[in-house]
Amino acid sequence: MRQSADFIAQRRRDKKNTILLTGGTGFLGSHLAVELLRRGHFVILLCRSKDGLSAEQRMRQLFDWFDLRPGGNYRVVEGQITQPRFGLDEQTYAYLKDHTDEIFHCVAETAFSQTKQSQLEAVNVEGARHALQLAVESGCYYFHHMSTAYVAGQRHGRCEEEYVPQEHFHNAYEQTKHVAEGLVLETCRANGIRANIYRPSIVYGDSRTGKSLLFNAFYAPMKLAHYLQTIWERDFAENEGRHATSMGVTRSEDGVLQVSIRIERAEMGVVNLIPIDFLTQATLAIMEDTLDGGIFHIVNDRQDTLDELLVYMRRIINIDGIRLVGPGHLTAEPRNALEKLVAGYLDVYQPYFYDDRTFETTKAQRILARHRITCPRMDDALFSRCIRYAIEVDWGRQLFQYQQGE
Amino acid sequence: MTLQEIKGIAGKCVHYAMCRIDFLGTGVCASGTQSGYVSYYPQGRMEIAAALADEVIPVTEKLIDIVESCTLCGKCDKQCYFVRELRPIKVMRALKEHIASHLEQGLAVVQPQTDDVLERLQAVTGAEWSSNDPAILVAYSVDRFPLAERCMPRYVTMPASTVEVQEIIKIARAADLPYTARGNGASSFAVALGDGIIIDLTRMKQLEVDPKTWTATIGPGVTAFDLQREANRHGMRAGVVEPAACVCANLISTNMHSLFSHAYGMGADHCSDAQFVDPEGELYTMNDPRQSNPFYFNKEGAGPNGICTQARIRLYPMTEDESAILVPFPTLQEAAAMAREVGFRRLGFAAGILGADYVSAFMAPTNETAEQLKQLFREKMGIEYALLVLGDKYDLAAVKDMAEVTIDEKLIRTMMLSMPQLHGEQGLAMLADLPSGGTLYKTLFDAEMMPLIEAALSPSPDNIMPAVDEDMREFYRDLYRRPEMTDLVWLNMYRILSSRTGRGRPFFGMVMYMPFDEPDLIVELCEQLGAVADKHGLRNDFGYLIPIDFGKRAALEYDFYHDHTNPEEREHARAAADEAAETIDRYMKKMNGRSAAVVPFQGLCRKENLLYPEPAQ
Ligand SMILES: Cc1cc2nc3c(=O)[nH]c(=O)nc-3n(C[C@H](O)[C@H](O)[C@H](O)COP(=O)(O)OP(=O)(O)OC[C@H]3O[C@@H](n4cnc5c(N)ncnc54)[C@H](O)[C@@H]3O)c2cc1C
Ligand code: SF4
Repeated sequence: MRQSADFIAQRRRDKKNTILLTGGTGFLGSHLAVELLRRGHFVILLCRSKDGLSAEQRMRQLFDWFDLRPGGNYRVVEGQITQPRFGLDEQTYAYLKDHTDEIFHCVAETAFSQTKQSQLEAVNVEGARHALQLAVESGCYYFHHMSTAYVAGQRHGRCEEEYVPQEHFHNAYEQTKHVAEGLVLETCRANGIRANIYRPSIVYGDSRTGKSLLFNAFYAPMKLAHYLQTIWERDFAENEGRHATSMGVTRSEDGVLQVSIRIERAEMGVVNLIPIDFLTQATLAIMEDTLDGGIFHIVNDRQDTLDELLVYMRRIINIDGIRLVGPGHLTAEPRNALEKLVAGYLDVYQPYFYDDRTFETTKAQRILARHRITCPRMDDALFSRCIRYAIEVDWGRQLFQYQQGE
Repeated sequence: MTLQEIKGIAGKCVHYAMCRIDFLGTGVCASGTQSGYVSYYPQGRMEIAAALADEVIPVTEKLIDIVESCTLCGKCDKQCYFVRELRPIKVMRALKEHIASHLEQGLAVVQPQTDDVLERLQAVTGAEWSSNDPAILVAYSVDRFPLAERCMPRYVTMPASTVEVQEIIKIARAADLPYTARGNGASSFAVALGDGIIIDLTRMKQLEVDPKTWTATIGPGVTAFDLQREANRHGMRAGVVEPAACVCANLISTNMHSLFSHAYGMGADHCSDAQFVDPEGELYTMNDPRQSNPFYFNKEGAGPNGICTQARIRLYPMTEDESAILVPFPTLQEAAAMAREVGFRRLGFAAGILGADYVSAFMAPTNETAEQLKQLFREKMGIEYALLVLGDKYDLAAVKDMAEVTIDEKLIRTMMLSMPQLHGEQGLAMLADLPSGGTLYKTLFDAEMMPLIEAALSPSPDNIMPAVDEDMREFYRDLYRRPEMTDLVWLNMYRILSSRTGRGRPFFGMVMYMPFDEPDLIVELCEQLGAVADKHGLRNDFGYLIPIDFGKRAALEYDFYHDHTNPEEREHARAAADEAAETIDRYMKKMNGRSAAVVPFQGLCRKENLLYPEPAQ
């Protein structure tokens, strides 16, 4: 090992460990970065420029969003995770090599679509390779890798907090994240670098404020429902519902839209959802307490049923007639146009509607219990908080404009 | 504004000559139609402004006349904004201010010297129609091809008849001066430039349709737009291409190939006879028994033997039930397989694969909206290519049957009349933001979804207004109320949108004929050309792929774009053009005998020469 456990513990305690965090502008990365900064670590943030904003400008925009007035304990480096040495010039890369003690690798491409295969490979696999290359070339002694509980792939039942070679996956996202884990473990082992792998389940916004930066996964079905509601309501207001009715959408006396949309799921289908604040606290607690490396599931010990979520959704979305049905229903009676639309979108999530994977949490739990960190339960109020925020910021489109106008 | 200040606008004119045709129903610059020379058209005035700013030309009496004859009517502003988002009116105003101040300061007004050649030319054409005035010459001195340098001719002459052309050629021979025929100068390959006499043929506008023989007899000044309009008036259609291109020039220089070539062919297919004035000033026709094979193909592209002064162009029937369909595809291979099938079965009267770049440039009112639309198509919906087929209801029913998803004319109209919110918050972008299997279009463009799309988009010409400059809004609303603006058959026949391609910058397209049964080779060549352009930091994109001769071969265009006002980029474009030519050459050798690159000036050769060239020994 490059450094003794005592040395690492001491450095962390004294906040003398410089952490390079990749993906500082991402959903998970930004939350972790902000928490690390709040706790006084020195963080080098590796991120991209985008939409005409430099990496530095994007980070500042995010600090505002977090209401963080950062001190001098950070530096932003604009780089590309998909390129060797992050595409940096000699001097900047040398700076990273000279200063990096620990790496928090948070960059990920989370698209599920098969057509994103090359992008998924480039970011999740090659990106990890490039982060590891820096770990090897620098004096880095600890590599923290943000993975996903779903590296378990097409397994059923209980999944351990271990690296289990796996061949079958539901999508390229799961597969590339699994490959990356293998790379991390192998490279770190060969080079005397300790490694932590964090495996969260499906992450949504902040349980206290409802705020989020990303509106996929958990949010996707709500976003589609809200869009349909907006369109149909406008159609009733402006065209007497001409288009809506021709697709079988009607409006009841009290103004509720009536549709007939069946969504197929396993009987008693469940999902494992965790809020971002829980993930942040849990990850940092594990980081601070571990000196020897390990793999940790950061999941909810209480899974939410899809039926419960639908009930919460109905309170916010003014649409009646969305039903969850058991397997076989849709083949018995063919899909109508709206069902095809919904199916087209939810297709990528289909495996998760039949999910029976559960996640062992012994190792993570040992640490979280010590820190008294528990995962908040999803309920009606929390659900509304999150979706209302999503609507307020127009599912992310007005994220920063909203911030400014606030 | 000073000339220096408006040079940025003037220099951006791409010389596609769209201001010479009335493609928007605004009318054409009156002084241009009256005086004929390019200098009296908006395009010419833009060039004059740039040349004055660079002190390339002096102020002459002619120049003053050119500037003063502009009435600031604003027609060119609408036309040029439509195709390139330029505002030439600012240039026209600045020119007027510049001349007023020049005269006020009592600065010199130059009178060019006449000479023997000029006098002889004027004796043939009349004094008005031949000139050596720098203000006239300068509008004929440039082209946007990156390899072209400014080339100032000595004279410009505008003959009115074949006899005058013959006389001019004899004068040139006697004075040992080179001459260059010119249509509207829009070829963009620097081929209409010359340092001797420019013979501007645009006064020769003879145009007679003969319904009995399904032909039109045209002079070399007749544009594609003129011919199409006249043919349509007789219930017929011409297989023409770029609207501002003179048909004779187009035929000779680039075979007049387009999506129509799928049914109407190209090169010699278009033409039943043509008349030429040879370099001795003598007349001959294609069907002249004394001529050696007029379909002769010259691999070196030596140019036609003379100037075409008349051509008899074939016309085709139209039916009441014509419409269009787009078939979207995520890959070129898939699109090519279907296009080939459409070729084999001869479905429709026009067919071809367009890249997302073209489709969005054509559909969107501005460059910005085109970029957004392209992103929506490509990144969100997974549409990289679309096969466009124009045909009657039987053709289109067959195409629909063959395709998994199609976008019909109603949906296209809905989308065109929903810019810019199509990709905005309440439009399709919202749906496109949602995750899907990557081929979102398959779900969204299912016929059953049409009510949802209409409800989401609320198509109307009013929608377009916010996308354009404030003073253009009403004009755009009224323009898009006209049904032809969203009618794909009309838009293809008159092709008024293609000059929008690369709106930000001019492009040069490379055309190659390829074996259609080797789609991987086509893809590979596109990738190689793309790599050449990428290396030089040039924007580049697939242009089109058209089935030719029953889908046995395909015409492939790949485009490079460059900012010609940026010297560094121009340098890169030059190097890239050379390297691209080498790449194409390599492929042509590799495909020995199975296809060819477009060799310029072979228009009247039979297409078989290009599609099935003799293999090298
Ligand atoms: C945006 C754009 C898209 C285009 N797309 C296509 C396309 O899809 N298919 C296609 O075929 N072409 C295409 N072209 C090319 C264009 O149509 C041809 O280059 C056409 O020749 C331009 O017409 P012009 O009158 O401007 O010709 P000019 O530029 O004036 O002349 C072209 C050449 O022909 C010679 N010439 C002109 N008139 C005569 C004559 N009467 N006799 C002998 N030689 C003559 C000139 O010396 C010159 O060498 C495109 C051009 C543009 C700008
Ligand atoms: S503004 Fe001047 S240049 Fe433009 S069309 Fe009118 S007269 Fe011609």
